[in-house]
Amino acid sequence: MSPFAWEAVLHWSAVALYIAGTVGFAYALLFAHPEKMRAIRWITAAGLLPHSAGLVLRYLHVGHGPYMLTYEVLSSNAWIAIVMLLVFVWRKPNWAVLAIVALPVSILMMGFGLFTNPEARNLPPTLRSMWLVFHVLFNKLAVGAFILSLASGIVLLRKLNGASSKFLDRLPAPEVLEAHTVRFVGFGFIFWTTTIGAGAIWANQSWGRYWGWDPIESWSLVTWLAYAVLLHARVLFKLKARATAWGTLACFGLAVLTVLIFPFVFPSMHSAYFQ
Amino acid sequence: MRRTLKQFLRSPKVIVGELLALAFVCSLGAALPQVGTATQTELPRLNDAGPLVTALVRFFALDHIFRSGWFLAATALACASLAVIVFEQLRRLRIQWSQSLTEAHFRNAPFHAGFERDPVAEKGSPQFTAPGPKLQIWTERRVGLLGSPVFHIGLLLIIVAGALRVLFGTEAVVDLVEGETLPPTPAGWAGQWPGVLGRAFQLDCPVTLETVKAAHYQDGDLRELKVRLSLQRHQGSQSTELAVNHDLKTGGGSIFLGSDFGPAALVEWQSAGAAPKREAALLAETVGGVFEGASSGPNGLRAYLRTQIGASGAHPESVEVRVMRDGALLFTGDARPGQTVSLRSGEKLVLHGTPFWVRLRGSRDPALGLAYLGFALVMAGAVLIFAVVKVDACVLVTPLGERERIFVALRPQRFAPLFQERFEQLVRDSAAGILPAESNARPARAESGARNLIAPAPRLAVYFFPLLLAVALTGCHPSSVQQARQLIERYNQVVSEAYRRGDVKLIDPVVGPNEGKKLTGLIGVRLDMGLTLDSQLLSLEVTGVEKSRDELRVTTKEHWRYRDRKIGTGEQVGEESLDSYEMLYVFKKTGPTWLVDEIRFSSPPQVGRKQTPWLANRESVHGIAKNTKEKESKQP
Repeated sequence: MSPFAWEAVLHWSAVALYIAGTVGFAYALLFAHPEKMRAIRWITAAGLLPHSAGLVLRYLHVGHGPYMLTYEVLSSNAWIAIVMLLVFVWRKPNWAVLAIVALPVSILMMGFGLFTNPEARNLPPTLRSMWLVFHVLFNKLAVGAFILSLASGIVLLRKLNGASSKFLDRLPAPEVLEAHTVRFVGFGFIFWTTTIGAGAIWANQSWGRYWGWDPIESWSLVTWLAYAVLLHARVLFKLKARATAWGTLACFGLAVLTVLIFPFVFPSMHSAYFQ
Repeated sequence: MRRTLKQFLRSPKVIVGELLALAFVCSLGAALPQVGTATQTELPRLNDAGPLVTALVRFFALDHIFRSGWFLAATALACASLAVIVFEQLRRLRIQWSQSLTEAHFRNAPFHAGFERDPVAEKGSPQFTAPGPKLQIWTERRVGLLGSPVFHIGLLLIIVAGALRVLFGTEAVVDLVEGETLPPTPAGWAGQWPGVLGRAFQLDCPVTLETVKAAHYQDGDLRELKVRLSLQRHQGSQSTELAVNHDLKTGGGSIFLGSDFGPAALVEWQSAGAAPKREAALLAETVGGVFEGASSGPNGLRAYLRTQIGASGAHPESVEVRVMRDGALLFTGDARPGQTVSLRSGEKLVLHGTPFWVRLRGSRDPALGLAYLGFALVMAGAVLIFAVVKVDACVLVTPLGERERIFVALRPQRFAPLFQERFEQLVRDSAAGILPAESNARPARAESGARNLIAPAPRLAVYFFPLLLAVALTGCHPSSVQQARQLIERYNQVVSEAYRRGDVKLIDPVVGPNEGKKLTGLIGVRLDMGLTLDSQLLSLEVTGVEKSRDELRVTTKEHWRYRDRKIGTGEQVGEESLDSYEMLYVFKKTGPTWLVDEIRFSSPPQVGRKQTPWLANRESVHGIAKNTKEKESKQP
């Protein structure tokens, strides 16, 4: 089998385990089987094995990190999001409901990536920089944190809308959920800030300027400003939990557009590395 | 007037409005083609989109938003707000940092509780010896106060650095061929973009491009690019290397090497009756490893040049030449360096060589250090805001006859709902007389304004070293502790659920036959009374683990919240109870599984509520009924 065939097999195996994990989480939460949660977490974590192996194989095949193709980028983003989810759910088992949102989003990312062109591309010399690694790594961490904030925001809205079920009742009160949502947003904001900072330092190292108003640079700034608006409005106007949740969802939408859609729409130096 | 302006600039509506305005303007700039970043076809398309669009583009400078007056005005307004806020935050920080906290500070604390207890000797606070109320107030993670000011100062520095760059910075670009020398004058550069008040970029000494070294992938794509430069200073020539992503600092600024590179065709056009024309035609990469360019000659001649660079990165040995005039092909063929191409019309084209060319960028930014400092501060500030939350805590012990009245309060600076467990731990510690060991607490009168601030201990040390110590003392591995914790968490989760649902079948996977019989009976008794138990494990600390081949003995400290509820309506019966236990769990290995064989209290339990809505005692709820008499006899 070719290296990509192996990668595809490993990725699809991971997808299968993640789907099993999603179904398991949904079953355990909907039918109130907390004793099964541990096994389900392990099933989901088991998906990380083929997924990691697929990413390592990819690295060995192409000789660079996952930042050149849609397939690589989406797969590694999903990996980071699932790791973050599992770490959080391991520490706070009652929050397993987040998996019902975060896992499908990650699976969709992987699935979409698997249907894009996987042809390996060479790493140009400008991308051979430690700052690129930081730039990309923190971007993935930011995406992971934003996915968790999305999941938390959706659950918060469900709870505020009066939805009741065994698993929703097990979750903490809306004010605790809201605080966690904002904390996820906060950590995503930190990572996003670091992404922009590392990108700026790298740009200065390559071209002698740390900011050039490249469309994707500008969109990342818009996303950063949008999250800043949300965080400031929450503190200054004492936003209610519902408004915070909707704001989180809107900002997540913008972050997704910036990371996944706009590089294809607007000609940019980033779009050349993400196709 | 000044005060009104300050109030305006720090008003929440203005701040959020400025952020929204900047976000909107940046999104316009990102979505519309901009001069400098757009391709040559995009800008005319924007300007030719119709008279209304053209008018809007001109009026609002939509094709160069980031250099428009209104964008600069919006940025300046935001910067003014930021400066006012930073000033305000620094003033507030100075006050908060050295604030003397009193009990009054905690009256509206999100977490506060009062209860009575029998006098106990406080562990870790030997200072509490004098009679009268004893007050202890302390602050943890005070450094969290720095978050917002540091973050906003960083932003301000970045904006100031950007403004200084726009005013005094300079950028320049030049294409240099191997062997060519760049003079130390501004005119040596092909393009200059000095700031409004900046001077043109120039080097402090002549620089010669000696060699270009390119490494390629198998398919011809560029992998690595380096050049060797010779700096001809007064004291002699100095050779140095410049590479992509590695700049070279010179007296006049920094030089950067981009990945724009290729072979240059040094051509000479010869024509009868005219002076020879020499030109370096720069060939640019079109597809992997293939480079193309053109050269214009006399009498309307034009030579199209193409060559290829292999994976070795060596200079091309020949160039494919096609000479045309008015669309007619006059010559096609390969030319080697030194070879002359003679045309029928009498003109000649001589190829003198194929050296490499590279594009160098020059940049001078007097505020680069300030910008980097700003980045660092913004990141540090954001981390402090979200990861380090300052917490004020207060414990007031007031003698009440033979008992003591305890008031406990916790006031987190942010994310208050997330501190519930921390507060419950503080309540438990206070009830047990455990006060922070490093406290310099001293007896105080109520409302005395006593200030007892404790230097925050590093969290890592607080949690990491006791764990190491516990591991060393018990001689068990961290994995045993982890395993024990997981087993107990699972047991508690399953048994709680069995009590909540009144379903004894749920306990089978976690308990052995002895414990199973007891729990089955107890859950059944509760069902007969029409009650279920709603229990919540608030905290769990594993204090000791002893593991043999088939037995695992684990001691714990646990804190629980209990509510009895009626089956059917879910209505709470009686008061809720916050209980603290020290437990011993005995697990037996059955096949690959560890099952609970026995549970008992290792010290008398502390029960919150005074009356239970039913007759069973606390031990029976936990399935510890058989040793009740023994436990009671041990109680003080």
